[in-house]
Amino acid sequence: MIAFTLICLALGVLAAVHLARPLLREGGPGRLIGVAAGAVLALGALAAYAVNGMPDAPGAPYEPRMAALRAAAPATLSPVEQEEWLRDAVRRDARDVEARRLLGRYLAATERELEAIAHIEHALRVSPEARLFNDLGQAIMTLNQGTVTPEAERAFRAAHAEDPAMPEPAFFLGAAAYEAGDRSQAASYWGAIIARLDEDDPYRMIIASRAADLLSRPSMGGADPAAMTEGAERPDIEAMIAGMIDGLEQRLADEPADVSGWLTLARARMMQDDPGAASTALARGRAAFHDDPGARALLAALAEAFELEETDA
Amino acid sequence: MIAEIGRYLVALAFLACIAQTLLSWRGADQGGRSGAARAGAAAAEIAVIAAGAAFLLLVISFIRSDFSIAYVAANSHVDKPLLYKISGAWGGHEGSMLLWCWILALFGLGLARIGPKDAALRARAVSFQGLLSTLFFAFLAFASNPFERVFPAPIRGADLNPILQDPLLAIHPPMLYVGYVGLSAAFAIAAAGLVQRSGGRALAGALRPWALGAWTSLTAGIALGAWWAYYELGWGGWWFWDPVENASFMPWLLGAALVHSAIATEKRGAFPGWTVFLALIAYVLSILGAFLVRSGVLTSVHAFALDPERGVWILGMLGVSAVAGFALFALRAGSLGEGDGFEPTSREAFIGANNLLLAVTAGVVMVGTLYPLFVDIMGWPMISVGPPYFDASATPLLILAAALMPMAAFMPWANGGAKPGLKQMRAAFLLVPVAGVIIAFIAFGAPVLAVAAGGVGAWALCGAAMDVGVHWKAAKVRAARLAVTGRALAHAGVGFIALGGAADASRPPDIHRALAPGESMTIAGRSLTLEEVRRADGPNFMADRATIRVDGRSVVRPERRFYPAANQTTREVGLGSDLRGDIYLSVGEARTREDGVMAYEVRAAFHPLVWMLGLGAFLVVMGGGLALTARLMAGAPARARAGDGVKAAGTADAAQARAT
Repeated sequence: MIAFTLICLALGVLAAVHLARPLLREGGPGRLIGVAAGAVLALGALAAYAVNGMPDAPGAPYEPRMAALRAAAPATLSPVEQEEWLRDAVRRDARDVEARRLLGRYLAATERELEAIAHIEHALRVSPEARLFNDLGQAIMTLNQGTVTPEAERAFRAAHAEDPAMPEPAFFLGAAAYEAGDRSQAASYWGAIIARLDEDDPYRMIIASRAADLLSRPSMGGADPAAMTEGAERPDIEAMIAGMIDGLEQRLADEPADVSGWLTLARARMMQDDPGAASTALARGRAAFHDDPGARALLAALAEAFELEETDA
Repeated sequence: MIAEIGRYLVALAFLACIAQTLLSWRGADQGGRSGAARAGAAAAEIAVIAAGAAFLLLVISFIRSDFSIAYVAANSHVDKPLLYKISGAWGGHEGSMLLWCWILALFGLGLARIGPKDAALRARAVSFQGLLSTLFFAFLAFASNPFERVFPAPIRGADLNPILQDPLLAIHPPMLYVGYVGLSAAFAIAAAGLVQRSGGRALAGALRPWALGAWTSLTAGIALGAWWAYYELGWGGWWFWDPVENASFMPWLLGAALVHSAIATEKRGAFPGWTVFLALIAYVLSILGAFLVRSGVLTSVHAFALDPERGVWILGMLGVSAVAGFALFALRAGSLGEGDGFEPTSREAFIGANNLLLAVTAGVVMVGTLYPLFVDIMGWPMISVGPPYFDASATPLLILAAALMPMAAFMPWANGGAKPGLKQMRAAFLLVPVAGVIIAFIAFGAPVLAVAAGGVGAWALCGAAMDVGVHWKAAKVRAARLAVTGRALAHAGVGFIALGGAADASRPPDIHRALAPGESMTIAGRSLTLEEVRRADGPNFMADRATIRVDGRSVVRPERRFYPAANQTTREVGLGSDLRGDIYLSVGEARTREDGVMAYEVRAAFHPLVWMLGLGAFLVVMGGGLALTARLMAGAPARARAGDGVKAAGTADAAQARAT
């Protein structure tokens, strides 16, 4: 404040003297005009400054501010400051994989997927790690409204190849297979993850529950359900559905190695308000997959979702 | 503290401009050599130094990324390359207004130091320039201060608009502002001359170099803007009749009329009132341009301040300048005198016709630009006035003006005589290549206007060549030769622009294809093969760069960029240039084609002879520069006339009179 005042005073006085000098040299009434003009210039400038001036307001150049942020504990920073902290780390060391990964995740979470992808790809050039491939795949998926695009699938495959034990890439590969209509491949991916995870691992429960939900949804084989039932009366529709469910049960009796089929059958029986038949379907599924803990976990997850007692087939 | 010192310096410059206005006015009343006049000049110096220092502090704030300054936070980002951090200082409204004000102050100082030889006229002109500066510095200090603060200061800036992050855009605005603001000096001299009752000839002589310098700079600024639009905006045009382009084109047209009319007034006393009127209205239209760009009344790629309150300020400045200038003109136009009269086939008549066409064109452009605003104000259904209107109205007028242009140089002053002039020009002989060009354009299936423009372009080129051939030898002193060369270059530039524009208007349709790497497409007989698309990230953007091989030889690399800070995508065009024209390529995003293949949207265009536009603009600027140099060289001995004798000045003046 003092330095600012002194500088402004010095500038004002210099300008006033420079302005008044020709008039002062002239002598006569010009002198008075010169002094008045100089004074008005200096004081008027201060007055005009004072209209909106903020003499106490400090400057905030970027570098000193970042130095202060660097010195602070990251946990005490706001999200925007944390983001800038990460950006600063990346600026200072373009090969800082961890900073890039965290920045990429943060950007993806705040709907800035393109930039997130760029940072993750930079990190991958330095260190092709499974978690980075996985983050890349997820960012691409988010960018595409949750669809596992071929690019995302490539990233998940790379992640799965780097670390087959990592649950997320396998889960999304299963999702890709499911979106492509390959339910058995999806069940295989998801079952394999579930089999690898501990019983009390929260991921295991989440994945099993989600997978059971998806795999138990009826598959119309590409047909449009609305078109199939168009013009039919309700009793006819119910009869048609019942026939389809019976057909599914018959097919499973012939080909029992279809976990998705058992899940669908159990769900369908629940929709028919027949929990006993649903329990039986799940029990037959468990029997068919007695040596596959992944598939059994999927069947158990659906049973839990429908609050069904486990029974023998 | 830097920001606050900057704000104080802006205030100091504002007060200095007031002092400049008042003291110079008193100095002019005292004959222009008193202490008051010198104090007025000192005030102009203070304004220049204060505004220049404020601008420097703003640039430093950009370099330091001080986001406590709202303007820096809104137009910069820490990751931006240094060049664009610096150019960001004039990339937005407030900073560009500071630059505008600084240039205004510089012209005030220029008038005080090298202004009209008549001391009283000079002091009066400095006073008027001070008044114009005061208006703008008040606007800057109280309504558009670039040192406005924001607390808490954001940690990140919003970044400069990515399309402005271009080397050409770093120099385009300063050139344009020198042009716009330079016209203020012509305004100030004209207004001062009306107050002083200086007489038309003296006034025309005094304002001509300022008008010429400003118009040359405005030409350079517009040309750089057109070039930038051509390669940066991604759709391949160089002139869109965009309202903001029109806002710069109107003062350019009137500036062109002014530099020619001032010659006739200075040499023969013709059109004194018209010349002074042009000097006044050209600057008023410059302020109108500022209003259109900065008030928010228009939506355009160029419009960068959407603030109606600022618009009211600028409208006020426009009103004060226009009322002061035109009221003076109404009261004192009679003091400008009358010329000696001239024949309809004299050079004055051709200059007059040229002026009429340029002025009518400016009027037509103004109607087309302002009519949608008028409709909006009246609450009528919204309309837009676009290229069809301007092509049908303004372009034919410009073609006609360009057709008359080469002949004026061969017409004698005053008494006229078209026949000897055209004979000296060998006009009949020149029509042969012109006919050849017209036939070529017709053969290529060019539209009618393009055929006409092509023919006129060839005519102007031939005329310019003949002008040098005939008049250069006749000119005996260096200044006169420079003047002839300048005129011929400028007229040749117009010819090249007409030819280039005509060729571009006759170009084949653009092609849009989704190409996968390895696939090809053809345009204008050239094969384009997409070889690959790679990541090519920059410091503050991410980019996909395509490599496209043209005819299996040269390579063009268009890019598609994403600027995350601004959250904006741009297309960086790839140009493959040779004498035939430009292959113009831009690449879009990747998408899966119907056949399931991942492909990139590629847009290809061929712009034949487009280089002629650039060459033409360069020649016009060179011509203007040479003419200004010639004027200054001829003026130097004239100034020495008072002390060193009459002979040297008489020689130079006579030589230039013959030449121009």
